[in-house]
Amino acid sequence: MAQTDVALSEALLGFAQTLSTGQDVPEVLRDLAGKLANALDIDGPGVCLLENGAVHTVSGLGKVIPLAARDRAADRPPELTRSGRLVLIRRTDGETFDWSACAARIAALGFEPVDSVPIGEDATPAAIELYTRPGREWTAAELVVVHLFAEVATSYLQHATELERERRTVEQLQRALTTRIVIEQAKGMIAAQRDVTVDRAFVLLRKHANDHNASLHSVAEAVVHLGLRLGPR
Amino acid sequence: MTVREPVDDVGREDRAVRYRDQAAREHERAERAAARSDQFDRLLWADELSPRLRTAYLSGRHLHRRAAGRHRALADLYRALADHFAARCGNATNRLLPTAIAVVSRARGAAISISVHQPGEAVLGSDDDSQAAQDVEFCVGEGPAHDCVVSGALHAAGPEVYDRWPMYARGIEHLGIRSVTAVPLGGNRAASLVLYDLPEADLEGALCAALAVRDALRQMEWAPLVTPADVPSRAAVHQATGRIAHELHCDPPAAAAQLRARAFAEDVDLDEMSREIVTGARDFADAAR
Repeated sequence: MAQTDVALSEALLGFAQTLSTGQDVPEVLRDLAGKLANALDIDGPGVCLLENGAVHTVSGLGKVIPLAARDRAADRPPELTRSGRLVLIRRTDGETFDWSACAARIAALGFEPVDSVPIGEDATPAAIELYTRPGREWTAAELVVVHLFAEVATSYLQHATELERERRTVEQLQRALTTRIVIEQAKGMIAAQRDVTVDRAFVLLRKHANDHNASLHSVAEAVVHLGLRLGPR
Repeated sequence: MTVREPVDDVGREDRAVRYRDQAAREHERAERAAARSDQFDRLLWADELSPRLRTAYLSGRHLHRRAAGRHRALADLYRALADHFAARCGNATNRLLPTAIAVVSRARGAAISISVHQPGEAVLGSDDDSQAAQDVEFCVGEGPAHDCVVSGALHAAGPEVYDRWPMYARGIEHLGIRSVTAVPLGGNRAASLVLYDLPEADLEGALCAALAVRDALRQMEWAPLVTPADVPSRAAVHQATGRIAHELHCDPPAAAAQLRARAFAEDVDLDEMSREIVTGARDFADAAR
């Protein structure tokens, strides 16, 4: 077994441990880039995130490729920008590619053009990029494990996205609930203060909000938490 | 407690078609993940495989097997929603999602419990019994939804329910619920999913089933299936809390604690006591002085 295969397998296990520590997405992707760089002994791994159609590089390309060469959202491979898929970009001898400006900049730095292999089933807003100097040969096992790296990262990103969506959904419901709770509490308080029914208390609450061009929620908050007492009407 | 609005008939068929398409898509994804898992399975048969590469390939197989399971569970959830819309049954809006969850997990009932100050302030229940069990939990202030947001996924059956939550167990006795399984949702102790009487009797099986359906739920955009304005929110309890806070010159959380303690001490239903306080049939402040 080639030495890099061992290193890759170790890096994969290390990466899996990183995922279990609950770090945030950029941290995890930085870790991914670093582990790939060490395991493959390559000059520049990069991990990019797609957000709202724009590409953000979240981890550096390591030793060689400077920031200027990475700042290239406009000339991203079209299939990545379009699909948002996690893409393993690897160098292939003799292949041509058409990232035009980006390719020229990278080539000027002594790197070979790369091609891209979409990985993962869904639109995942990230890309792993691997840049090597000419002449690098990839073993079949290396490629399998690098793909696996990308798939683990895909799975992690999907999970992180799902968690975030679930958190937002629950927060929306909580916000709606908070508003209703404080309005009900305010109705109870006003009913006690004014010796009226809760329905009448609600009418008073709404009238106060209308008269003062305020929201029902803010008036209810003021009644419950700031001791606001509604006027005698 | 009842959910008021029936589902609007408009767009039922469209929704059925949409969910059916999504179910088909998830099914395809499950197939692809299973095929990828098989690829790693074949790699594991290669000659002279080093232990480390073998571990990597095992990880790959596991990753894609899990993905296949998640896509299958989500396909089931979409199919249950599609079936609901296709059947034109009269389920109330906010019961759709917990009903689909109960169908997929083969549980007797399911409830999504959402908290602001404590679990169960709003509940989406699949049926009256699930809703009633959550009402009991809210009133007695203990139970699976309370605990799982702190301790993580849990399962309790039979006598264990009595041991863990004696007041809750007594309260749900008449419902004939044999086991409860709960998993947290949303993070930050914000919500939980409670399943009643899963077919899996053992701890591991029940937790796996609950987590699988939770993962499926996580993968879908479920906000459109919930109408916040229609989620029952225990209005009388909050109105009574406001009244008590005014009369006892305390803040709402303290008032709510007093209300709950009184209902428990007198063995009176919290909602019932709240309604009496709000309508003036019961003078809470006098009794408290």
